[in-house]
Amino acid sequence: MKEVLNVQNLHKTFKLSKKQQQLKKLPKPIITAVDNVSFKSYEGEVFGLLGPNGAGKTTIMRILATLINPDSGDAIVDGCSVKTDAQTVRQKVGFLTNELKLDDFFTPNYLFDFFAELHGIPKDKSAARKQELFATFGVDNFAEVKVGQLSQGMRQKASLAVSIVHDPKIIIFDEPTNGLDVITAKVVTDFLVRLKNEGKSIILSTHIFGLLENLCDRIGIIIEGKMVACDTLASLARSEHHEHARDSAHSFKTESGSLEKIFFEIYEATTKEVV
Amino acid sequence: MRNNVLTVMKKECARIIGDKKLFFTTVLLPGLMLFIMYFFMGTFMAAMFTVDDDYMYQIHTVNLPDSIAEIMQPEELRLEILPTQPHEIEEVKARIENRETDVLLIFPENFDELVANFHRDADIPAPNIQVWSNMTRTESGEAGGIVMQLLNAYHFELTHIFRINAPEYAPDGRYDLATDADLFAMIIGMMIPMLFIIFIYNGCMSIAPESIAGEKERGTLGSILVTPARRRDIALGKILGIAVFALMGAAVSIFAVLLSMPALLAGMEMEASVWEMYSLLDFALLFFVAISTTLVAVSLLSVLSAYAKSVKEAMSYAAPTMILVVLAGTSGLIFGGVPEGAGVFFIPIVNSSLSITAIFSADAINVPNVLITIATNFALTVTLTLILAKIFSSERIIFDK
Repeated sequence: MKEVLNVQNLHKTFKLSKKQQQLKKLPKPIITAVDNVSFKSYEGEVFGLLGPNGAGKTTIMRILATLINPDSGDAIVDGCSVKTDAQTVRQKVGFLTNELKLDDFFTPNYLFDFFAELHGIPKDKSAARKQELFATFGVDNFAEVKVGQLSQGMRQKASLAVSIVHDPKIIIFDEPTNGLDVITAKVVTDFLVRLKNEGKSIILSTHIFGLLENLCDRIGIIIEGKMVACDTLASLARSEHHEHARDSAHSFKTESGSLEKIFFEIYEATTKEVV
Repeated sequence: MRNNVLTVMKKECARIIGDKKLFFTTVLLPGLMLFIMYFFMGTFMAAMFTVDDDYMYQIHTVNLPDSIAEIMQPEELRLEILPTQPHEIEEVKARIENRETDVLLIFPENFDELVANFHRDADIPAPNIQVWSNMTRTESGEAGGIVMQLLNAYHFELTHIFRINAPEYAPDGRYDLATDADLFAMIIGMMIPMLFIIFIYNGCMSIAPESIAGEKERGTLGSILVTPARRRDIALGKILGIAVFALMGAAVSIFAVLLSMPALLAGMEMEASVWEMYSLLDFALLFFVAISTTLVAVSLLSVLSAYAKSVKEAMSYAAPTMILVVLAGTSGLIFGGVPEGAGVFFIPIVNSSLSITAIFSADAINVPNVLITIATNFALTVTLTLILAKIFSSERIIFDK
């Protein structure tokens, strides 16, 4: 499989206000969100990112979408650096997150055309793409209804269609089924499988273990900004983890079982906290 | 690149056109307010300060001497003489105070005789005429003025020491060389810049925070930032999109001012034509000053809005700048007119206010200074657009929630 994403020693810190520093009880007004994270992703692969809230998943995804810059390290997207060639990277990446929304005031139809224009897609191609994607997600039924009047499921479908208007090579999905009813969630997961089969590389972040188990070829577990484990589910279940643990003397071995069980074992061993 | 600027601009326009309330408050309301204000100001002034052509001024007189009665006789003066007894004085005064009648004239008994026998060297005060009127009643104020003029003329006629503004030197009776147009230009040159700039700025204030901080707050700005469109293009597209409507608002405001001017002129009892007073160059300069001022206002408010986390916060940032804008709008009054030097025309908003004052005033316009204003404003707009683009790249500002 061809490598389409190579994340190399990605490191990102954020400055904190005095208030934030006091709340987090940190000695310095700085927090490390991503700590030397490296991983690769390939064509036709779904790579899952798993970790608790605040672990650094969103920051990694924002860096990959070129919304923010890493302090050090780099991510090479289909041969282009997020640091030096962000504009080209944006042509190759699709980003769907609850953080980025569609304007309530416009219809899915208008917004699809708007984003197609920003991506420089010729009108005839964008029309064909719109027809295909709207049919896939059933957006046709509410294409002329303002986003503000749509249900959450409808909005998510419209957002999905708009986020991949430019047929990107890498698609980053942050909690794509969050808040959706089971029917809509099924539409989304089916589409992820379809994208995978089309050879797209998908970076998927979700708290739903079942979704990761069913869809992901490999899973990276991120805790406190560090990638503490990264492998296939089967390998994660069999592996001995010690390299990334906070205390390297405290090595441990996961037992075979579900991803949920594996995650909590790793989490407990890494943070040494009772979960 | 140009396509992306246009695409973002079109979206901004679609957003404003689609929102009828926003369109009304941004584009139509400022002009409508200006028109209503000036129109009613003119109508109000006309009603307040003019007297009907056939009105007879009621002049109550006590001991009216023949000499004065004679000079008050001409029909065109429209003075109705009402002989009054000394015991009625207090009653008439009360009526004047209550704005029921116009003037009370009290002469000493035997006024003509006293005047004839008066010697300047004698230790006796000159005979006194009391003229009672009430300025809050237009008719009373006017009648008082007419009577005073007649008495002054009579006084000069008696003394024969000197004359002032004798009619033979100014056949039309006017010694004031200012034309109505000059007077009107002076008045509106002071009034219009402030209102004009406030309305432009206010129009921008109702769109810019919504367009920048609103998009940031709703998370829709990020969706645009993940596209390959350059930050600079997005910033420029947004500023131009907002500016189109702010400019439309400014154009409506200019049109409203022009429409309301005849009413204002009539109210001031002035005979002047706006179209004769101002040349095509004046209107062209006004147009470009308005455009450049709008762009400065839009870009400044956009930058402020980009720093805000919400529309509410953006409005709180913008509110203090409004005070500065109001102050800048009164530059003509602060400087006591339009300064000759070019230095002050490099200060944004102040330069716009002074340029508009210069355009509307009767004095010859210093065109280079107006051109400095336009160039300075455009340069500032470019700088602020680049700052906005920089802000769009700043993760700290864009994701600070």
